[in-house]
Amino acid sequence: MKTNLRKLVRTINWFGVIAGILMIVLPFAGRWWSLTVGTGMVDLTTSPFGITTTVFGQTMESTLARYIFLGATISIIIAGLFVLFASLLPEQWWSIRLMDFGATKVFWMAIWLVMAPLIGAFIANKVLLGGQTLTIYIVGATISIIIAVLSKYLASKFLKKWWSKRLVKLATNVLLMIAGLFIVLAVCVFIVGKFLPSGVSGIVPGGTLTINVPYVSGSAVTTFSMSMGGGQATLTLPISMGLMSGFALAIVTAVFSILAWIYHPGPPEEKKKK
Amino acid sequence: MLVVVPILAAFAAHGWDPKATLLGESNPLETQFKSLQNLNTSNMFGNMTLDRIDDMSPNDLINYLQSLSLAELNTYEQSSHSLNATVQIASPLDFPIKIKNISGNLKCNDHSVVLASALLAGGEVSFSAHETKNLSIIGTITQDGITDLVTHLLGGGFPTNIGIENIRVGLDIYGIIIEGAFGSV
Repeated sequence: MKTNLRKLVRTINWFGVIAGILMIVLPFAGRWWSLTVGTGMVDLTTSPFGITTTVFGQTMESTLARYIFLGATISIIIAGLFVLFASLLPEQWWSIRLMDFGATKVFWMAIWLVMAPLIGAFIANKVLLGGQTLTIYIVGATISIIIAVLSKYLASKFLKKWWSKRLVKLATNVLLMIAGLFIVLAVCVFIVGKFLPSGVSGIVPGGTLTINVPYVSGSAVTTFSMSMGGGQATLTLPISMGLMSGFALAIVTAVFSILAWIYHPGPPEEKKKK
Repeated sequence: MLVVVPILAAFAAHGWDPKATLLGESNPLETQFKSLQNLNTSNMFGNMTLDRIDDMSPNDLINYLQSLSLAELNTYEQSSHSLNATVQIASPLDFPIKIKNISGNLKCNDHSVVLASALLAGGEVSFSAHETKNLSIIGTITQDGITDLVTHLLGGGFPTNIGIENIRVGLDIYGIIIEGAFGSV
């Protein structure tokens, strides 16, 4: 009895148990990122599981957003349960499949939550002003894809351990995501170059727009000046962003779930094959 | 499925209306934008009234000036003087606003004379939606201005048709600062 219990404790994927519990709790642990324009003009706090937006002190509601976030919440709870079951019974034939489904979800959510405002700020600060060339983005996308394909090929040829193969698979997917972002930036540069040759500053004649948006976290000021009639007006727009406590928990969850995924041994036959 | 089904359910809940599904029943942005488009500024500025000159009320100043000899009146006109005025402002906006500063030249429209360079007294003034407030203005009277004022006062009257030109305004709307230089009102 004692031996069986000891064996059971040793086989459990403890990283996965912690990750599974954290994944189930995560949707209710608060927002991940906030955006403020002015003082109360726009207040936005968001996570993959919900968004709260107030404009001019009034709350904006979107049924579409609410249902999508509900879908994401249900998805992560199911993923957490899968990771938990797979971790408690790692030697079952279905455990590796449940682990594969659930383990990387929070990792990708955290990555996207950082990438979205980062890319948005880059587009606002650099691309919208015009004058960018496509070359650097096409080269960046190409290099990322080449490294990803090369890594995958080399991993299949030379890597034997199952955890190293999973690590390379994750790295390959990150590189492909980076390639995708380069392509998105290239498309934005192309569109701005085609329809706004002198950038957004040229939209209003006699106006000067200086866009300054923080990257993910921080404060910055965007200004717009224009002459009108016999006068001149300058508009100053303070923007601040920041990561919230929910994001810290998301990082911890992502770390545990990736460790669980890499460490997860799977059924004994698979372990022997690997 | 967990992506497609929520999207379909959301659209079905609003009768497949994209705008209602995306933005909901109330849209503060649209409301505020419509309100700004229909802004009525015709009654925004009330008449400006001169309250005090050199800490004297208008009637006291009239009595004082009438007691001066011609030489004393010339000396009075050539020295420096300050004024306090009040102007009523009615905010036409549906949201709170803060006036950080106002400055400009007070002008006697009857004689086209710049009376004083003036600015907002007492710091920032906050307005709630559609609130009306009296703003205190302080100014330094120009040389031409004191001559015009004395002319009015000795006639037993007081300048009533006062406008503001070369207006510089600083506004704070929910932390967004708008600074502008405009013509006259």
